[in-house]
Amino acid sequence: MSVAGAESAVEAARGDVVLETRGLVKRFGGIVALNGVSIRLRRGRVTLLIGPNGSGKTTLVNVISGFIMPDEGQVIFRGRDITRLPPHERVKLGLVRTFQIPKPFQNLTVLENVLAAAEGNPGENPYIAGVSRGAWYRFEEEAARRAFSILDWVGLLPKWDTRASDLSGGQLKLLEIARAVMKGANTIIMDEPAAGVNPRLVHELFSRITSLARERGVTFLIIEHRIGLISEYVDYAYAMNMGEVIAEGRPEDVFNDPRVLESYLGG
Amino acid sequence: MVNLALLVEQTVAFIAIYYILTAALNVKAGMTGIPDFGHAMFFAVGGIVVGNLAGRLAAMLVAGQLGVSAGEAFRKVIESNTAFMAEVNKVLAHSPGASIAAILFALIVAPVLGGLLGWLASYPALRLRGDYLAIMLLASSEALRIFVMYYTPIMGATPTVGLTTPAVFDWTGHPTEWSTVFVVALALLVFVYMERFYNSPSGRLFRAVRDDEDSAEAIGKDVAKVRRDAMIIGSALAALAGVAYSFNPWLAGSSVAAQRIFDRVLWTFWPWALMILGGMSSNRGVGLATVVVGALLIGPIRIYKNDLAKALHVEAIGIDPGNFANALEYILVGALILAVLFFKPKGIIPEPPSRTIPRSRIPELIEEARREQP
Ligand SMILES: Nc1ncnc2c1ncn2[C@@H]1O[C@H](COP(=O)(O)OP(=O)(O)O)[C@@H](O)[C@H]1O
Ligand SMILES: [Mg+2]
Repeated sequence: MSVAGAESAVEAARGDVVLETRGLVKRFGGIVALNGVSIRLRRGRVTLLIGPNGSGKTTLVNVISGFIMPDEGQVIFRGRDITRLPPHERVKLGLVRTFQIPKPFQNLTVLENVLAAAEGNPGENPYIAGVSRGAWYRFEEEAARRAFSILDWVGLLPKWDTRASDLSGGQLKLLEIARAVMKGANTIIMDEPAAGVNPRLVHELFSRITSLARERGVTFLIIEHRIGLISEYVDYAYAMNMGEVIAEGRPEDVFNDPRVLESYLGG
Repeated sequence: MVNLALLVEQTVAFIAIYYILTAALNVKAGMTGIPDFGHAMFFAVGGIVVGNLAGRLAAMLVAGQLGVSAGEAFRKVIESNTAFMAEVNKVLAHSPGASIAAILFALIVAPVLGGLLGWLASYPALRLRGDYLAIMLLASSEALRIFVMYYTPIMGATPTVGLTTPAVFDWTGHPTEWSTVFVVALALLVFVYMERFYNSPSGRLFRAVRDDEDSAEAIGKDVAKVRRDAMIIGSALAALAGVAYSFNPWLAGSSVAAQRIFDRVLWTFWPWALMILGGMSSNRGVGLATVVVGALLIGPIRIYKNDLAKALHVEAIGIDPGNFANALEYILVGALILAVLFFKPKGIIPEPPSRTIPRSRIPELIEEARREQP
């Protein structure tokens, strides 16, 4: 079910906006990393953000997820202004991100990495955890069952007891995704999830992402700097260059926009 | 002539309190990554509770038998400590009730106060990282030591002599043996607790925050709260070690002195050394390192250090044999740390995963999971 042509405008107007940024500005010294960025993510859609290296994509993710504060502008999530909320509070609302350079818990196993993402584990109250196992064991088993099925889904099940420090770069990307799914996120922002993952797995992964979006209404923002790699899975695309959105619309249109092509040629 | 029974008993008591103290540090530094170079100040809380508060409680409980009012007893514990506590301890020797009350009181109050101080110290721990935090905690511990040494209402007027402790095990007739049983029982309890804590979701959470704070935030964890909790729990346990130490005549003698309970070599450096040896974040490693270092090094060295210094003829290279003998335990532990870190950089027993679910249950869970969809 693709969102195409004139239909898209209607669809776009109808689908509810889950996340919106309004005129985000972020300066690092003399560099303007974001220069008035406004984007909208719609529920259950996979939105792609492309742009050459240094165009401000990661900075946008950092501002949306709360890791850096913008100098100007707002982040609105499900109707609420979350611009000043700390990252973990945003996660509680269902807004989860992954990192461009994977940041696993190095000394924890794959299973532990995923289990740590379970929301509301009563065993994470340190004042009862060591005293009463009964207070958390059932929750933990249920979480483990879910963790194993997610690991199976991303293809990491055989590695469940391996330390994260022993995984390859591609496997670490998969682990980040597994954690985000485990978190039960309703909105997932992925910073270059396909980088370093072998192409067959990329396609498998993205067909799963689309099924999460279609069937569960999970909203995705996927960052890529390569054009076209995953376009078939994407509903809507934005292109950035030098801190500004230079094109948006259907993926094919955005990819073929002369300004986008020019930005990639380093114009 | 070596009194073997006595040596064994002393060594066992030593191992027990060092295990508690090192396990306490391990919660903060090993599991959560907070470089607490001020660990001694939390141990000292235990000493202060025993010397000052438990001493006062014991004195008040036996005040009637000494012909003084409870209020008077409360004051005299500090004002004329040595003479008055000698009287108190004579009565305590026949008062199991008052003695046990003082023990229980210290066991409850010291962790509470230690946890409170840990909570206070966690505020800089939220803003500072790494070296800055380590130095800040070291400086806090030293500042508190100076304060306690010279603010006489806490530990008396003579920082090097300190306060006579309530002799809470005299009523048993075998105070040294029973106080050793007490510290060993406490150490075993702490060991079991630490195993359970480590293998719980909280143990995993602490280790996750240590490995990557950003990632922990990104999966919705309140990193500041985790660091605060680690400071509270680790510091409460350190205060417990301070209690075990101060009540033990083998280890502390009959008094606790501010200068000694704040000693940064004994109560900060040694736990760090033992933790690194055993394995950061490894409860069993910490236990094993404490036993090995305690049994192999501390005990025998104390007895044979002078003979060894003579046998090695260190005076031939211009080192005074007496000084050499005194430094021997540090030299040997230093050499041991170098050797272990060279061959096993992650310690004797490297950090294990937090096994929240028995391994035998895992295959079943995997089977069940495969039948479901995420
Ligand atoms: N923390 C930072 N400090 C200074 N400059 C930064 C920082 N983060 C990003 N930048 C700069 O902002 C611009 C955008 O970077 P980034 O958002 O990482 O781009 P992208 O993810 O699209 O490759 C770059 O010029 C980069 O050098
Ligand atoms: Mg980037």
